[in-house]
Amino acid sequence: MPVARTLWNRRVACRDGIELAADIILPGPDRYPTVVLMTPYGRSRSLGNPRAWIRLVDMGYALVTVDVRGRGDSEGDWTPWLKRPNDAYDVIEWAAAQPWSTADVGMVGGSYEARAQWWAAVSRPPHLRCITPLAFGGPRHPLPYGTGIPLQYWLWWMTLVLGRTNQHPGALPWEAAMGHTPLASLDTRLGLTRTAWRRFVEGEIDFAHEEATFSADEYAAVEVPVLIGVGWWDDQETFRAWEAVQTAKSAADCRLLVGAWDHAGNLSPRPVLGGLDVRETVIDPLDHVEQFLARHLKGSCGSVAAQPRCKVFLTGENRWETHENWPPVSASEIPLFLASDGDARGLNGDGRLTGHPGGGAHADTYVADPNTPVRDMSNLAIFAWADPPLDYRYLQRRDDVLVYTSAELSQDVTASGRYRVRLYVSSDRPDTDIFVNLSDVHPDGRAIGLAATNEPPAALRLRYRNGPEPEFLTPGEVVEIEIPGTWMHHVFKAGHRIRLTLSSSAFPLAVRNAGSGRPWGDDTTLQPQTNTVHHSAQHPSRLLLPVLAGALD
Amino acid sequence: MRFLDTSAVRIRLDERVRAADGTELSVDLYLPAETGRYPVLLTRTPLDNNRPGRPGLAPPAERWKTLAAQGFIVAAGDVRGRGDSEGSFRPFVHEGADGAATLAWLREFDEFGGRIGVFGSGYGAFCAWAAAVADRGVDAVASISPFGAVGEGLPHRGGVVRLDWLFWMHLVGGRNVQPPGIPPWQSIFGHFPIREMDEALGRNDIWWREWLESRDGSSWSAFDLLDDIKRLRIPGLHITGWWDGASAASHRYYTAAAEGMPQDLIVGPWDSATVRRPAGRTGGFDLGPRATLDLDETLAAFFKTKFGAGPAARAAAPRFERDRGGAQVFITGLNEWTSLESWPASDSEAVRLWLASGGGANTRRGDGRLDSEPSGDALDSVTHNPAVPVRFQPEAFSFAQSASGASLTLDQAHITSRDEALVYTTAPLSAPLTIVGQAKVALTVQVDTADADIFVLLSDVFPAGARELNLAHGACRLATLRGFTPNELCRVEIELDACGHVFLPGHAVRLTVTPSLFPLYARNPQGADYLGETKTAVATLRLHHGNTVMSVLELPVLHHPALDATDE
Repeated sequence: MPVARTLWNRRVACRDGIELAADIILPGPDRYPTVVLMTPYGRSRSLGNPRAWIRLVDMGYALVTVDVRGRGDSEGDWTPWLKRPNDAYDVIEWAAAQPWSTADVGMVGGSYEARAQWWAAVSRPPHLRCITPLAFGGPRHPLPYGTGIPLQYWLWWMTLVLGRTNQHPGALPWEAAMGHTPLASLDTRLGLTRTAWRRFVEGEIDFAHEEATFSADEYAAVEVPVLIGVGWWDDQETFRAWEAVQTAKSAADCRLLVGAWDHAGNLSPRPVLGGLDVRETVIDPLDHVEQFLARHLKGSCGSVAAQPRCKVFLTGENRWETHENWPPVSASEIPLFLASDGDARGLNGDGRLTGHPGGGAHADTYVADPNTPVRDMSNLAIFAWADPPLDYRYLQRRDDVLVYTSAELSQDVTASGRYRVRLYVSSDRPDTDIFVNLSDVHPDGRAIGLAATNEPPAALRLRYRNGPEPEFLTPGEVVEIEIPGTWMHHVFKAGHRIRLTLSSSAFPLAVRNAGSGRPWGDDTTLQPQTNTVHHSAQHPSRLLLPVLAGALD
Repeated sequence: MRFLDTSAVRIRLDERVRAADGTELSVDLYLPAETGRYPVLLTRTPLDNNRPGRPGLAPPAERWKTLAAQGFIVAAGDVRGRGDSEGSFRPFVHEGADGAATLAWLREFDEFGGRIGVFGSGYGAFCAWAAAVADRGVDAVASISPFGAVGEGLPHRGGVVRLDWLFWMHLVGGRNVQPPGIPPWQSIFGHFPIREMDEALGRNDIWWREWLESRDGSSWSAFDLLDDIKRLRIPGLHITGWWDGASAASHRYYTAAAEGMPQDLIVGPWDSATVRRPAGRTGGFDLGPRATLDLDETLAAFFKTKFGAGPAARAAAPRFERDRGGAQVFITGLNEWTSLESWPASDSEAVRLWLASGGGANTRRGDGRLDSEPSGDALDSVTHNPAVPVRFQPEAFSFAQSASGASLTLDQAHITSRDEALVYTTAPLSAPLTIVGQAKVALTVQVDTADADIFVLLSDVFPAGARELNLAHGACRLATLRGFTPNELCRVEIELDACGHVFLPGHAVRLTVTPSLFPLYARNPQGADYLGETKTAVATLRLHHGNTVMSVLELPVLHHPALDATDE
């Protein structure tokens, strides 16, 4: 069914009198199961991509796109990240009452649009039947910004959503400006005076704040079925939302889809991954979403009941798997201990991952100079969109990156779940950052990354090692830290090697640690940090890998 | 300019300007790298001042940066109620005052260097003229493909409603540019009554009915700037294309502004899409390497010259070095530019061609001729059912495509293959024939319904009929003519779009008459109530020609030294 009828800029009155703008796209003159998308990015933009949501109209749904409060043609104030459960509730109930709706309403959308779906799910409007959030994170994290490290990237996003309509952030000189200090005035350096940046720097707004996201209890109270979708190189916090709904009333009807894509690939996966032709495995994510919608909005149980609870792309093997539960409970954590002969710096260092602690030298030391930071691969004009998975050797050649590599595997090793890293570290400064990164070293030397670096990285700002209250380091004192890694479902093939890298910056994505212990917006001088990672028998620094199958020698 | 460094351009996004009534308007500023004093160029748009690019089309910020890197402060504003500007958008009404308020704000800016230019394309060109008229202190205007003058395509031409306005109203129907390809246009444009097409589109907040009902009355007063422009006395640069929907409007603006001060006119071989990024290929025809134009360079050179830059800038800007202005027009067929003292060319000679046939001029296979002398009286007839209109483009035409930068198809073979098309063609020419200006037709017609439309199209038929290049068209709704009565002979005079073209030896001149040109033009229901009819009537149209009931095509033939070089 092609588009038969359109209704533009219909006004939805919220309970406080604010009007939101909605467009309605209909496949015909009747009543249709109804799909709502709420967005800060311009509701018209959501319709513009012919490969995306507009296809739902062909599939027999009424598609409703809504500008969130304060954006586009919707009235009211726009506050980035502030949750608006009442708006979502009012939109769902309005849609259900329209003459073109069967009163069965579901929601779609990715990223911030997925955030809006959670607003609806926790506010429980009576006519909401399901949500399908793609690529949006989980419950509030206990630390500021999750890792304790603010992301400079957020100014790019704040620029995108500055004002009422999207800006084209590519107009601004990011490359020239990103090294600016102090960061409190990065906005004016770029030519911006009206973004939320200052309030972000002051800690007044925070996307992990309780006014922005939901508690684990709120997730658990969700009553409608949820399809969570994400890509391995996308927002890894999404897995925490999946964890949270396991206790929801609707848990049995919740579904997980994890594909081999990045933030932009949620709707259009690429046929080549890390140089490998994977076109056979490319699925249409929207088709998967539609099957879920059909089951809950159209009552098409027969054909759709077979949808597996978890559909997860197995990287390394590059094929799809289905699981009743993911991560699988049968995975066991296997330690791989960091070791070296005293210089694990760079690709040509002597760092090793071994089955036993305490061999060789006792520590590795490197100088992390934030004035020459480790660069991530962000294209500053389009920032969020990497082209994963990347070969990380370009970073691993630096001598401010510690590289620990296992021996060649004698058999395939499948790792499934979230890895952790426990480290014993000391520094000569009151504060420093540690970033961890896991890669799969192919026989030809390529070191293919297992997760994005541009979504919340696996990292820790050490002043927050014990919680949200800063505790500064005493120079030379060894502290034990744990850094949660990224989620994975990956086969390290026989003949491949497992590599862990440690570094102290990921610029310009993440704010560089000035080594000062001061508020991050204030520093104008960046102090090099001499950091030591200890790996003696007394300080068994280790990678804990969730191994599902295969053995490490 | 090719290696111009734009990376150090200073940018200020979303500066707030207070309009006279307190409404806050959003303006982005692009400043040269070093602080200093610079001339200001203002442009305003309802289509988002900082939108991303599309494939093949750079984001507008790139143009602003290119200008800023050459020593201009560029101010790019969202019009009231669109983009990030407060208030509500009402086409035309606020642009003069809001543009003037923005200029007043810019004059207070500490880097303002004392000279002001305004520029824009489409609605933005209207904004530029409106600001110049309201402000009275603007030093130069650059106007690319400006909105049509009242009745010269907006909202109708020759009394026939143009549907591209409904499309435009959709495009600017929200703060964000609206998705052009989503509405089911074929069914919307096919809707009767014409007045209620807004409802078929699903928009209850646009100006469709208001525009249709307005003749030359008061609601157009904000739009009709021509009298004010005549009194302006500022230099202007006018850029349009032969197939640009705004070609007639451009010439109007040019003529009006030229009353006060010499103007520069550039007319290229472009349509509404390619005039915005002038290309060597339009409509499927290769017009040669000279058909391109670097708009950024042209704008910079124009403003530098008019702001009194030194001789170096003038040397870089050959098109504008003459203070007396003039027209640079691209002669298709020859595929060369030529300079005219003014527009229209004063030295063209009206050459008449007489429509003739043996009574069977239907389709290009018929017996219709264009003769240099009249012959005996005869008539051709077509039966027109609006349900199967003659189509403007060979495929199901979408304005959405053209909005995304695709150009029109200019080969009109799909029109002359229709039985509803009366086709009159000369014999192949033995010598080149150059026309520059507007062709006219005077037809004697007769229809059996209360109303009907007549469209005329001028084309160049390539040797052996291999291709048929449309050059210009014109339109007339018969019921708007004084003295029109059903079933009686009626004299119809239509001016076609301007063109500048050489018919090469072996080519032929063709005039085609059709009763519809859909969906660029709404279908005429052929009843008494043009805007209100819900049903359509089938019409029989008779076209008379000969010694006593004349039907004539009049061509503006030019003998020009540069053009006569092709005479062999």
